[in-house]
Amino acid sequence: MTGAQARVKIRVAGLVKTFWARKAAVSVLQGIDLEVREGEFLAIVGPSGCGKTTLLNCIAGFDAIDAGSIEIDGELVREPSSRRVFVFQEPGIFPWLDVRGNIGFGLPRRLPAADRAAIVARYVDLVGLQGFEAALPSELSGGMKQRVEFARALAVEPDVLFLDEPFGALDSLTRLEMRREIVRIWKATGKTCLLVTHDVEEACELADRIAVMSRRPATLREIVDNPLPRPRDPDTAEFCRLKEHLFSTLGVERRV
Amino acid sequence: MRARTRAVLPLVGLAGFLALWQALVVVTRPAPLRRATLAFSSARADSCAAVVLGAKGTVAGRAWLALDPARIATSAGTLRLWLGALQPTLAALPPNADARLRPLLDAAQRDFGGGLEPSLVPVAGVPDAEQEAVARATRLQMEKLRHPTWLPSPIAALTALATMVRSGEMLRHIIASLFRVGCGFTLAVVLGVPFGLALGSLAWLSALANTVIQCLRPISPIAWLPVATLALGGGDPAAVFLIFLAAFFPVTVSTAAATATVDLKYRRSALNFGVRGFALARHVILPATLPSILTALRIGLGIAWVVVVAAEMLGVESGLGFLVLDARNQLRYDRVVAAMIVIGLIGLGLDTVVRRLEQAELERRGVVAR
Repeated sequence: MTGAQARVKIRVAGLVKTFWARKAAVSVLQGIDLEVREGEFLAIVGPSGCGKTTLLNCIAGFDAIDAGSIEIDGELVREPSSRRVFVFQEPGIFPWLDVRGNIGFGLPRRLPAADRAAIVARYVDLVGLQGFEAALPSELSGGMKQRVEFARALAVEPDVLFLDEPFGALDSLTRLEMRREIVRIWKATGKTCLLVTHDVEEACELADRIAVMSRRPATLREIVDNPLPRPRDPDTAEFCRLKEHLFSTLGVERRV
Repeated sequence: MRARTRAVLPLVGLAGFLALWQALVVVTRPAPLRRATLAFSSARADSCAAVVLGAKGTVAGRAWLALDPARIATSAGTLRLWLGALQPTLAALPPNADARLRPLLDAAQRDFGGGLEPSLVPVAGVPDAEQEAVARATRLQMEKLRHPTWLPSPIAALTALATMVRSGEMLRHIIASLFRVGCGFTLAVVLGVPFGLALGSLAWLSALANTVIQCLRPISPIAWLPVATLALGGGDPAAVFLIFLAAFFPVTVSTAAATATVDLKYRRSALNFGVRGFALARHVILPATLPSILTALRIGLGIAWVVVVAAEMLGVESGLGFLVLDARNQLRYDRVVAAMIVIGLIGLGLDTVVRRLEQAELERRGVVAR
């Protein structure tokens, strides 16, 4: 999936984002340059509060930017689009719709019922929620809700998935399982994935490349290639060296 | 709390309330009137003999009342009360009793079921034998009368309630009130919910209308009565308008507040899938705010039900509010309290229905445990 020959999908150049808090400007992003290749899994790691999510919100078109440019497929990003879908940390699925209704939410409303049902069934299968089509989110576990959110995002067949700490609200066992799942889905669909996380191990497990952000006002410190072959084993020496390198780039002392 | 305790406690509370009520009835029972004035026949048209009776039929005083026709007319209400109380005594009067008093006596008899406790006193100019005969008759009649109380006992109120339910009168008033609340409340929901959604979604509309709404909101619907009567001519339209006003503001303001605080995740999810405008309101904002809207409806319906009684006190001839007012004018406090009981029970019923809906919705969403 990776490789220098792959074409650039997302190009961020000189991105500046400033928030106004009590009439004082807070500079969040100060000149971010980033290129994401088509079909690549890129992770953005950084200290808590550094503006990772803000960066993702800007790229998704939720937040306006103050300077610089964001292009996807050579077009400036002005607003959100269903060609690139955001997966939230706390699932953003709708509690008033059942699994079927949630997964089909992004599909065009004029779509014939049979086509809609076929698409929904395909993505129910993809995320392994067979038998839960009529369940309400309140009846699902955290991991199952996250699967519904993935299915809802994938059902509109986007080119890009924005993952904002999608496993953050899950327990550690479910998180492991969901990481395997997202890699499987990514391999099966070939989407470009942009993952924001504060979990260095998660970034090492999932991503082809890892962008390391500094504290606020954030810049990109380094973009680290992850050459480890999949499936990845976090207990190998190479994996630990990669982690060690990222921690030192982040400037974090690991020993307690 | 154990299930059995939970089932029994409301009954204990109800029994305690009834006991408290009965105690209040006993404590506030007015002392029997020591002195009662009895209008008496007189040879002259402009005056009559008044007898004042002591506790055991003894003579306590005597007087002549000057009765000019104008005074009888202006104090007719007071006189009706007195005469009503003393009617049994007057019934024992000789047939030459003042003819002008008879219609008043008859009316008082209809309106005022209870009696006071008079005793009889000799009056100058009336033969002793006649006075004694009257005194005897009075005592006999009075013993048959129940003790009058200003506050009806639970039994009296429930008896009146049963009577009105059996005659179908109560049902007629209940339907009239529910109809008015139904109209006014439906109007408030149909206008208030979309308006609230718009207010919560459109910043310019909120800026435009919010000050006016917050200004109108604290005005009690009762304060609108004169204006409503003037504009709509009283009667049903005015009553429905008042109920509408009472429910409209809480429904609108709560819906707007809920709309403005819809989780950003849901808005962004919808935006991400290109759901905007009317579809956003219909498929995301409305369902997201539904639990809050149901709470708003419960509050609005409660206020509407409170206001219907006040609205029916002017210009209509049916409904529970009218019943309260009408019964009071007839001094039938047992019927007043019976109407109050029905108002309370229906209010409880309405609240329970909407609360169930609200609870079911919250359970569906996993906000509260099933």
